[in-house]
Amino acid sequence: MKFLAMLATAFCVLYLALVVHAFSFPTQKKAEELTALSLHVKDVKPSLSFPTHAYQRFVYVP
Amino acid sequence: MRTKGLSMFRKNFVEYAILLLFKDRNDHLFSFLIFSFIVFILSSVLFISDSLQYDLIQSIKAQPSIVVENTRAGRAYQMHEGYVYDVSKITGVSGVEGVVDGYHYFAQKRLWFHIIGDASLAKDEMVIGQGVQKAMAELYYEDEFHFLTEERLIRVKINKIAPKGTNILSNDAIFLNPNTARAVLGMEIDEYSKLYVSVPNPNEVGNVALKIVEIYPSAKATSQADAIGAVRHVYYYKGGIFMILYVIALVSFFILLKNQISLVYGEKKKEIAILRSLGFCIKDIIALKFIQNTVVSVSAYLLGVALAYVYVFVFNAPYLRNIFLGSELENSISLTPVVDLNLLFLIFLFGVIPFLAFVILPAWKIAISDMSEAVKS
Repeated sequence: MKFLAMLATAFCVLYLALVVHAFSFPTQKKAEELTALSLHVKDVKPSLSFPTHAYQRFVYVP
Repeated sequence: MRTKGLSMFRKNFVEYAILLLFKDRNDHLFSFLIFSFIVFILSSVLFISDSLQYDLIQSIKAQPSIVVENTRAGRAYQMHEGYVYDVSKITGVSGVEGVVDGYHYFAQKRLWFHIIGDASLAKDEMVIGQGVQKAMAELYYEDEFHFLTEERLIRVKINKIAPKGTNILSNDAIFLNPNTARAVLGMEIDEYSKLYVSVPNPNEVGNVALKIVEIYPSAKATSQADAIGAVRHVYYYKGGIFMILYVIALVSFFILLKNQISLVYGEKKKEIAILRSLGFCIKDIIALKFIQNTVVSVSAYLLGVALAYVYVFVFNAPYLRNIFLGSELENSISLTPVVDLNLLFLIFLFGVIPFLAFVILPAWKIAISDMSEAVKS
């Protein structure tokens, strides 16, 4: 029983720390920044950068 | 009195189960670690996918009713003033705005930069994303950048860096005055890459999109709902691939677990036989194994989910985020904590319950077998 109580307490503390992190994240600020940007760039596209084969044979990179 | 005695018995029974768990800790450690790892990987992928979807869908809400893009021979092709005039004459359309948008190849680093026209900027200045800044800084472009086009070299001052919170959209972006953007992309002064069409009545959006495609069959008209659908599709697809891998990994794990448990319980047949001879019935033996494995599986699940949260939202998912965002341009994105409790419950249901079933079945099989033989051996 003592072990179970200790295990439950450890998980409670761990999850409490996660909840505190989730609430302390500046979600509002990030949403405002994104909204401000999406007023300029109305057709949003995720900023992806996957490898491409284009031009690779003709370019020399140090 | 009877209730107190019963609860004491239960308490002692649970303590005995935990004591046995500690005694056989090496047998349980394997299943605990593997199960935690599987839950960790799946939860991480779902957390990343949900967080990216959340930010993108938030941003799409400011999107115009319809975005029109032209194609020729299957490739994006520019539009001229005639398109703006024709679309603005369609009934239900309140305004049409032509915009410049395209990709510039930065050959020295083999990267594509997303060029976006922004009328609020002066001709010789630009705002860049953080990934672009890092790529440019590596080649000592810190205050200004030289766009190398077919005709000439265009020098533009780096005015500002987009904030980190917008990295999901701006990491590979360069915001330029529309005329400078046209010069960089090799477009004429009255040409546009896209048209933003405003339709005040949401019920008319579908009809207007159809009319645009009727007038220009090579054009593509994307409504806001289509854009949201496309984002969801991309992330469901990638999440789906992981879901398939997860199912394969989980099934393999359960088969392994069943074999291991059968072997271990086979060795412990004598122990079970002694418990039976002490007066434990089959139900008690199953309860004993149930308590032990509930502690193992629930702890492994909780640990897996917590580690996934820390990995994704505290450390911003190094390596795994590249599957969703690409790795050519460094993206120091901060993922918004979004936790879908329904999905976590689903993982619990399809993880912990089969885990218990696969462990209890061999225990039951041994408990119902003939115990006199086991005691004699």
